[in-house]
Amino acid sequence: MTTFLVGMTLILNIILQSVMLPGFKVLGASPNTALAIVVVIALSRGRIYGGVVGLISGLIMDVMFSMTIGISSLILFIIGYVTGIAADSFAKENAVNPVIFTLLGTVFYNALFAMFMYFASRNVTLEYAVKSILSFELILNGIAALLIYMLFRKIFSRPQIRFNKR
Amino acid sequence: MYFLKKYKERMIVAAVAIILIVIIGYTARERLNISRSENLIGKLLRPVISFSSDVQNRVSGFFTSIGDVFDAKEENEVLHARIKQLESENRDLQNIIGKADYLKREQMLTENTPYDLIKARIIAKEPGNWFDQFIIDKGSKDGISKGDTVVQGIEIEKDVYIECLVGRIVDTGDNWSKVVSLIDELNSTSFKIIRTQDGGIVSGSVDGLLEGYLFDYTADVIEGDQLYTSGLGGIYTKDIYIGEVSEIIGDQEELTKRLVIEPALDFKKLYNVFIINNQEEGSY
Repeated sequence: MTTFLVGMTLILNIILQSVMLPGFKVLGASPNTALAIVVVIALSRGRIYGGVVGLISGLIMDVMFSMTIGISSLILFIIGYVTGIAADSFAKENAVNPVIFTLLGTVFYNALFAMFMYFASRNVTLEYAVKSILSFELILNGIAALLIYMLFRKIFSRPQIRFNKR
Repeated sequence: MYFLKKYKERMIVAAVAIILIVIIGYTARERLNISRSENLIGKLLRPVISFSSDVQNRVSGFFTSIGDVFDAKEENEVLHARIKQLESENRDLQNIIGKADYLKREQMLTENTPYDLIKARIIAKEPGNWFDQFIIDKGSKDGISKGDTVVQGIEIEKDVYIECLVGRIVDTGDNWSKVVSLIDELNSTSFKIIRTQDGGIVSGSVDGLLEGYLFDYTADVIEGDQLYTSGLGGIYTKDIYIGEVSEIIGDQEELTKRLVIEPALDFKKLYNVFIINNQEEGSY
C-alpha cells in the first residue's frame, strides 16, 4: 500500500512540477518538490527506500525533461540514500529535520548540477553557479518540505497499537 | 563470500552510481533517437500531463474571471450603473478583440507561410531552473522529426505576419516531442543581419538572455537591426525571424563585438507553436 501511495505521489509530483509550478515562479525560481519528497520519504523510511525513490523520481524527470539521462537520478539517489543514513540519528517526529535536510539537499543538488554542466562543456560561470545554489529556490524548497512532511505524516502514519472491533 | 555479504549494500549503491554515470556519459552526446523505454514512459505520461495542462488552464481561467468580477464591482462602487454597463461592454469587446488578434496571427501565418506547418500545443514545461525546454503534444506519428524548426507567428509590421523562431525539436516520441527553446543555453543559432547581411552566432544563456557575436568585428551593426536565421550549419531553416539587437558591447582587446538580442516572442506566454514540417521545400 505504501509503495502504491509513493508511486502515485511521484506521478502527481511530475504533473505538479511540470504543469502547475512553472506558471507560478517566485523571483525566477520554482520549488523542486521532487527533492523535498525524496528527503521526507528518506527520513521516515530509511536509506534503501530513500535511495530507490530518489532514483525513480530522478529517472522520470530525466526522461521527460532532460536530454541527458542520469543527472537528476544520480543526485536524487545520493540525496535519498545519504538522508536515509542520517535519519537514524535524528528524531522522526520533528518537523525541522525535513526542512534542514531539504535545504542541504538543494545546495548539494544545484552544486552537483552546476558541476555536471561545467564538465559537459556548458557555459556555466562561477557567479551563475553560486547564484543558482543560493537562489530563492532554497526558501521555496524549505516551505515545500514542511508542507509535504505535514501531508505525509497524515498519509503514512500507522497506529502503533491496533484494537480490533468487538 | 563473507566480503560480498558484508559490503553487499555498499556495492549495490556504488554499482547504481556507476551505471548512472555511464548513462550520463552516453546520453550527454547527441543521440540519433530516444530509446524505447524513454518513448514508452513519455507515451504513458503524455495523456496525464495533457489532461492536467487543460485542468490548469481552466483553473487559471476561472480565477481570472473571478478577478474580473471583483474589478467590475469596484468600478461599480466608484462610478454609476450606466458606466458599469459601458465598462462591462467594453471589457467584453476587448476580450473579443484580444482573442481575435491572437487567432488572426495564427490564421494569417498559416495562410501566408511558404512552409508546411504543423500546429502543436505546449503541454509541459521543464520544471527545473536550469534549462528552457518544453514538451509538445505532437510526435513522430504526426510527421515531426528530430531537428525540425519550431516557430510562432508574429506581426512584424502592419498586416505583415511572419514566422518567428522558437527553438528546435531535440527528441521525438510517438505522440510527444521535446523542444529546446531559443533562449536555452544549449542552443546556438547562426544569424544574419537583414540590413547588411553580416553574419554571426546567437546563443541563449543559463540566465535566460539571448546573446550573440559577429564573425566580423568591423561589421556595421546598430541597435534595432533585425536578425534572421542564416541557415548555416543546416540546423535551422533559413530566413526565420529571431529578434532585434538591443545592445552592442564592443571588446577592443578580444576583437569581438557582443550583441544583446531582444527576442521577438515572449517565451513565458507561449501556449501554441508551429513546427516546420518539410524544411527544404519552404527554404529559398
